[in-house]
Amino acid sequence: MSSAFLALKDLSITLSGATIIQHMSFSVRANTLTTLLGPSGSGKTTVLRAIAGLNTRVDGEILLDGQAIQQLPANQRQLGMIFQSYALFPNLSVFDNVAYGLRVQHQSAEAIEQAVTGMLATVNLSDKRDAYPHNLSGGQQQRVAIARSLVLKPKLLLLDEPLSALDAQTRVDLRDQIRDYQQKLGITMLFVTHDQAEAMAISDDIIVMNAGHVQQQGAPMAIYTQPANVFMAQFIGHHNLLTGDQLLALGCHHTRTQAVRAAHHYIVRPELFFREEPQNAGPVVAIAGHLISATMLGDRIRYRFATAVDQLTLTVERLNHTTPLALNQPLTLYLREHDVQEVGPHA
Amino acid sequence: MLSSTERFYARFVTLLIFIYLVMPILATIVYSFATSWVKTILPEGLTLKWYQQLVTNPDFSAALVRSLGLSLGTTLIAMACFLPVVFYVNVYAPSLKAKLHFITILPFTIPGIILVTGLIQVYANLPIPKSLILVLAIALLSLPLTYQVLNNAFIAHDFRAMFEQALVLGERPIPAFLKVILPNIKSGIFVAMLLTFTSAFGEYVLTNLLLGGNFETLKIYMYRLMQSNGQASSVLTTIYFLFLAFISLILILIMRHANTPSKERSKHS
Ligand SMILES: Nc1ncnc2c1ncn2[C@@H]1O[C@H](COP(=O)(O)OP(=O)(O)OP(=O)(O)O)[C@@H](O)[C@H]1O
Ligand SMILES: [Mg+2]
Repeated sequence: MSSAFLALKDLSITLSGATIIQHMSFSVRANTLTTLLGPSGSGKTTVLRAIAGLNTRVDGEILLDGQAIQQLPANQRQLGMIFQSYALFPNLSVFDNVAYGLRVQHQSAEAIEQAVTGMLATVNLSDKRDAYPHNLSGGQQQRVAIARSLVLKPKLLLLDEPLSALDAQTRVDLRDQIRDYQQKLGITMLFVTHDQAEAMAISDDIIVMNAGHVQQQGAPMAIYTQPANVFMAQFIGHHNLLTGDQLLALGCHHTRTQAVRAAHHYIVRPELFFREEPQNAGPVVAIAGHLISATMLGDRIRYRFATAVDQLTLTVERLNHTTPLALNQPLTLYLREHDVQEVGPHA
Repeated sequence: MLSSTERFYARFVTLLIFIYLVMPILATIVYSFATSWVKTILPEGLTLKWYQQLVTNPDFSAALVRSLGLSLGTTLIAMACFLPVVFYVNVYAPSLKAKLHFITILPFTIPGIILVTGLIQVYANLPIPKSLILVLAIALLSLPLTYQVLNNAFIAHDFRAMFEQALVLGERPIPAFLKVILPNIKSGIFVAMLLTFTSAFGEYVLTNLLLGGNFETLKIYMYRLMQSNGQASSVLTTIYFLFLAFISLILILIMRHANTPSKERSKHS
């Protein structure tokens, strides 16, 4: 991994006697937006709080820009953190909220005025400088929180599910704005979310964690197309996760690289089934069966396909772009053997 | 909807209750200004003589000073003990809230006499002045009320995140508390202080049991007067009543202010 800006080494975290994170290591490259993605309760917030210095019992090493920070109190780490609840100071105006950190640093009034005004313009809140938090919409409040952190030019900005309390449209808008600030201001962001689509849309890098462990780290495309293990395949969702037994029963004896083994796990992505036999694609398996349901997803239709193999149904997508296919009619789908991928066991 | 007879009946009952509650207070107030009011429906004349007499009585000023001192001491000690706890629990250990809530109910269930006996047994041999024990005991008795009011002040916002946010922005913990937490709970603190103050000011049982005649507070003085001089005691009751009414008014004003969000304030700036 080139130029690790933030590195967690062998991090273990204990909260009220329970070990939440055990021997976790990962790193984040400078000037990237990296998401920490995982199901609820997987320990994302706990890791973020440890990096910010808000957890008490932390073992292991946290390196920020080459400096070990795990011993520093929160107020000396020079990071930014965005809380899910915005954590605006209700007794202070928008301007005073954003100016808070600069005042702590005893900057001059002119410097503060200039920095805050500029930052409010960046987040498009110039007209709200004298408003109070409770008079702002959720999206505006979150932008104030972002401005309050960014105005300090933190080395690293941590965001804990910053969009989860917002409506769908505001979420998408603000998500793109956050990505925009990250690129314009050239800062490193570590963004926590449990929403895959969000992670896929804005990240340079995704770290998927579960039960206090890193399951996989990589670019969004790699996370989607090459899940490292069974958990990843299930988590990313709608992959067809098959055992070797099932594949053999379907008539598939090889993956791209090796022979199918009965007790191993394999995935086949839903968009890799074809209605016409692909040409020049190496060995192809023909699977007989029928469609049992169709779900409209907007840009595509997802079908459930019941095979002749006992109890085995597959999820298939993108079979037909214009009109839905008839259900319960005999249908043969084709699968290229080299599209079958082996995945490791649970991490 | 109520029919008109029902409404009349409801009003009539309300009026009766009102008279039942208010008449004694009114009578006491009038009596305190009366020259003499023995066998007539209305007093024979009005005078400030009784007030003058009471206020110039050294027993009164001594009792007043004791009561004020006791209430002030109790208020300060209660705040100094409970506010940090409530803050800590809300910001650092929300999981302890349920247990703490249970503990704060305990004083309700322990009769004063048991509390006093217990306190004396525990502290009698230690070189601690009894007045300090009294202050601590009254502070303890006010715990359910004080805790509830203080705790409610922490419900409105995510104070934990606010406090931590201030730290991450580079603030040290104590200034963070003063700048980010305190301004947002100050009306709660003020209400809690007033309530503790008034409950200490009106405390009788513990004071009497623990210190008795050695430490005559206004309340104890009031009972003593009642037995000897009816008019003087009605003067004291009136003063006492007006004092409480005044504090209640302040409480109502604060609570009303706290309940209307600072929309107006922000419009003005
Ligand atoms: N103070 C605490 N004491 C004990 N256990 C805790 C504490 N805080 C969190 N936990 C536990 O640690 C685990 C991880 O919690 P954490 O909040 O980090 O998860 P998360 O991934 O952020 O979840 P979510 O997506 O729901 O926010 C959970 O099982 C939680 O119950
Ligand atoms: Mg969380």
